[in-house]
Amino acid sequence: MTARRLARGGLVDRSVPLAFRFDGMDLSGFAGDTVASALMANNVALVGRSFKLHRPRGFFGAGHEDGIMVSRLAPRPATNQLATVTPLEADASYVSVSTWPDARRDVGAVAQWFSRLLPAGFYYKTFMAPNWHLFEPFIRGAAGLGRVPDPAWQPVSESRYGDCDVLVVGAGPAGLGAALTAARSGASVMLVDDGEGPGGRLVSDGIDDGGWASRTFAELHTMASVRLLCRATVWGYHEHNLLTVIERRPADAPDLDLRNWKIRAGQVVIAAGAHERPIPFADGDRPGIMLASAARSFLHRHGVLAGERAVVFANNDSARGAALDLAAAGAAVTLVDIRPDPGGTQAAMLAGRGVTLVAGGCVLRAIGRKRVEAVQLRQADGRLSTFPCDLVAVSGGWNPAFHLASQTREARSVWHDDLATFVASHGEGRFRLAGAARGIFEAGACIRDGVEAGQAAVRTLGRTGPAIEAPDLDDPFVARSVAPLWFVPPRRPGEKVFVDLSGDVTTADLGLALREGYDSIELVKRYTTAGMGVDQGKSGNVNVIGIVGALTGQATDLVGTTTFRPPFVPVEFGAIAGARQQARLYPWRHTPLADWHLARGAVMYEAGLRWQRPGYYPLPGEDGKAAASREARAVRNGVGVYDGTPLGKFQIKGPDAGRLLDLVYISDFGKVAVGRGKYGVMMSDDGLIMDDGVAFRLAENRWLLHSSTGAADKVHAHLEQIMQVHRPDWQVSILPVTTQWANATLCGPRARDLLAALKPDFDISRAALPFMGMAEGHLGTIPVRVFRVSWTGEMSFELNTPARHATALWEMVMAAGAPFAITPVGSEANHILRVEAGYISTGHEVDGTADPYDLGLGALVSATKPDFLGKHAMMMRRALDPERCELVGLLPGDPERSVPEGAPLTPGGDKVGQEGFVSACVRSVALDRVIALGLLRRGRSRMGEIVHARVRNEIVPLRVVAPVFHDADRARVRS
Amino acid sequence: MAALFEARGQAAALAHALAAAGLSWPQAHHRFEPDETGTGTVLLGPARLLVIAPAAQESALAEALGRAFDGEAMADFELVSDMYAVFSVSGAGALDVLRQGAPLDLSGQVFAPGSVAGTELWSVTAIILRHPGSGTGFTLFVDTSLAGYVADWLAVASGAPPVLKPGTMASPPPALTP
Repeated sequence: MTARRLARGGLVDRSVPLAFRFDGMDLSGFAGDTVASALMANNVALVGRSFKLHRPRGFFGAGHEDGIMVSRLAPRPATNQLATVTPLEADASYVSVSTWPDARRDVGAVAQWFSRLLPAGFYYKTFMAPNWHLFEPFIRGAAGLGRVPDPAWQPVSESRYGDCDVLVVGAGPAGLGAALTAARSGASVMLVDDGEGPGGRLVSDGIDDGGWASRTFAELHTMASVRLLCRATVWGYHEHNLLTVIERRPADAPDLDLRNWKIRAGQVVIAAGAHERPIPFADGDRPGIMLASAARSFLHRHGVLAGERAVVFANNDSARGAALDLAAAGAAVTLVDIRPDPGGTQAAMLAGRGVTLVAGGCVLRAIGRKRVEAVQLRQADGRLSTFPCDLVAVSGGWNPAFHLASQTREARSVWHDDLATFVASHGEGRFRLAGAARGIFEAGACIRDGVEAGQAAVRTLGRTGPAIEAPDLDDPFVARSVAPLWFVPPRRPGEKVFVDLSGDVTTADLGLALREGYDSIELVKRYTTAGMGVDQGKSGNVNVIGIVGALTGQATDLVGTTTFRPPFVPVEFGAIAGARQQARLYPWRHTPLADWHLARGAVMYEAGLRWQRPGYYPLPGEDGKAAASREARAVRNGVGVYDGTPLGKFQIKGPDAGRLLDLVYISDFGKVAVGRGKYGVMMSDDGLIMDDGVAFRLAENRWLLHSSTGAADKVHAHLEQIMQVHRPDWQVSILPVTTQWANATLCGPRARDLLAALKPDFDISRAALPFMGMAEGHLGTIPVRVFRVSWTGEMSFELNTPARHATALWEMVMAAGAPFAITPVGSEANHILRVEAGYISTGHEVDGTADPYDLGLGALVSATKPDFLGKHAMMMRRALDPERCELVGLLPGDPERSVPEGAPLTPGGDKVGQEGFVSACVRSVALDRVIALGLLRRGRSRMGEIVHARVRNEIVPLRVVAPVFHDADRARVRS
Repeated sequence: MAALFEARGQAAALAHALAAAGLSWPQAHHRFEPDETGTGTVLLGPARLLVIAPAAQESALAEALGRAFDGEAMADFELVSDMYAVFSVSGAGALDVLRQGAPLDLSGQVFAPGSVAGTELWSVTAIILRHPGSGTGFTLFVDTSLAGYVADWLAVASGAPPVLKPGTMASPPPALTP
């Protein structure tokens, strides 16, 4: 292969040379080159190694159907860049992937010596013992994928949504016709093409369209309702006409590397063209052997002649165009057509234009190792000869690119005899195929077909697409009269006929899979990995199906097809993520006091429903446990303040508000007086605890319901479902107001003293504001609503104020609390305090299996209410299973021994079925030792018994005690 | 800060209360057509209504709505100005910025000036309003607990550096695990 740059032709800018390096060689290309075309222009034939056997490889295609990737070391180090679609950059440095020291001298090529030991699925059979994972790193390391450079380039990515009336996939003749028609009808249009510019085959095949493509594109440019995306590939067609598009280096955003679109389209026109397929023959993977369309594309797009002495090997008419173009560019061309009589007088015409026709011939084998040097030919009369060449351009027919239509699952693959390939059946109206994507290849016909597709698309939108005159184009050589030839059988055993270059799959591999019982095409694919490589089988898949048919004696159309799935091309995860990283990865929630907490050194983390809350406020030299203990002691001995803002809050109003509460809570709320609250346990239909909370009666028919933080959304949905589905006749409105209110909860024996110091304009005496009481008023100028609830086992006042006053309220509390040594308290200290007090917590004791009786809350179950949600299920479950797990306190034998929360309790600590678990374990500040809560089978009847927690291989004895370690009579809470 | 009130209840009761408070019932769902003072109402659903007004009118409106809704058994309202962070996104690139996070088609042809929708924005719920009149910009209402998250995203989406302060994390430190 002696490839060279021509003095003229192509879309490259010869006035802008670009120096670059590849595998240590200093080379140069031009602006407009891809990495592949620049290497071709420099006559670098061997550019990579095959995936499994490390055979020498060159470029086989000129677009996404090729599988040669490179790593870019500079600028922006990255790997697995597809060379045929990666624009060449000035002063860039590239290396071949998975080769050492380079593609030419690759040591991994030794794998070829053992190729007989490495058939399809070899690792399933050979590397079973002692363990596949022992070998896996070496095998994966040897496979032909690039290693991510260190440090790797971090592309700037954006993901975004888009909408349009008509999305046109492909800016070739059909796509341009469809887009122009749709746009002129007034529809909003997005035209997506994976090339640097429009034209598709009109450019790649050098078809003189008199400037129609560029004029059309220019007109589309001027239309406000049209968005043109170049260097963009539609990679997925999802439900409800949602299509995903990867756009590289968007023209409108110079600072962006990648943009991933999620586009909702009214109608879709798929004009994605077609992929040429090969005719696999022995050693047909040598550098210098490529698709005829690739040779033509390099010629017309980049001004690169891929070889001086070319053999064009074909079974259809389309390759004649390639043969004539190569000859016109100066190559000596021989067209080997397997058809004995490929078109009457064509031989004379071809000869007249410098192409020698060998009708009825066949290429049997390539000769040459690191590049093709000759081919072995069989003439029509059976004579064999060796024919020197430096380029073999192959055309085995064309596969319409209907992948996207297939992804919708609305279009099926249908065999087309004349084209000897599969085409797509029609969809159900939301998309249309046009042009080569549906088997129409002649350029003028493609334009007309695109126009019709555009008209049909806008018609469904109530618009009229104008008629557009297609130019007369000279395009005589397209895929007609295809004589199917799926492969050329090797003449000698051991000759390798590669059918899938990306996956290094040979015809022998397919035969092996069939012999081993993988007789479905889907199984053959999975066993051999055919079609699962970088190119996803774009060129070779139909050959695989044809070969399986040939080997099993089935007609090709009866073999079946594999399934097209997204992505159509490889897509960087970073592009899909876009800005979804760091703080934008997940929507953490913060109270209005987050800055205040952070300023005091709070360590923040999630404490339910994505709320970031202070875990603890460490002093210098303190760790988390020490800080939490200090804060808890402050609450037990003086006063603390914590941020209870995230608690769920729902304003419930209406004549039936009380009925709603009585329905969802196990207790009787009817007797709650205005200005008072009541603790309630909420169950789901299955009779298990869903949440616990407190509801305060603000007025006769107006309540404020507090849920736990983590269950707030669930409680809201539960209430709405009851009202909208089960009790639509009840007169109740539900208003979620969680974040309207910020909170400062004062807790501890000095809490009332502190509140008094804040000079409230309302009565805070025990008589006026008792436990479960509420008051409204002001602290200075700050409006507050105060609730007497406790979750710490101490007297507590929950001060709620509109969020705008949050910081001012806290500053005021801290200033007034200084004489009382007030301490901010985080969720870790809260956890210690609530375990000491024996209060349950959602996610700990409320674990989705417990009912109120299990947790010692049976006394709350109303004996007078006729019903409440979950009652029947709860009673039935209890009747059927009397041996329930019940809440108990647990004291480790070693008072300093902590037990992980969730540790199983098993009889004797044996590895047998568990009889409960440890739900919470803390170091108590009240008892100065480790204490725990747990759920234990028949727990309440086992007081004093020693049970055992299994912590990995250690058995921890625990004494069963009552689940309240502090303020058992609740005197401090009610003080 | 804008003055915001949310009301829920039966449509007739809501309409009655609005009238009692001197406010007009919206002409259509998901439309904001403010009066000359900048005050208007938006129907976000069959039983959900938002009153949007300049901040200066908050007290007067709270009083008027309080009186009006006190007499309505079938509807309730609450001041929610504190519950929502309000962002204004304007300029030639406003639509491009929002479309990075909003699946909803916000183009002027579909989402005309004065349109309002409760929708998803970068994984969180947001109320998006296209400015009435000129319609050249948008107002976003998001739960105040998510204000930092949205502000950070808006900054990055519009090409600016991130703005969220460090100091929060996703999981407790290992030292806290018993």
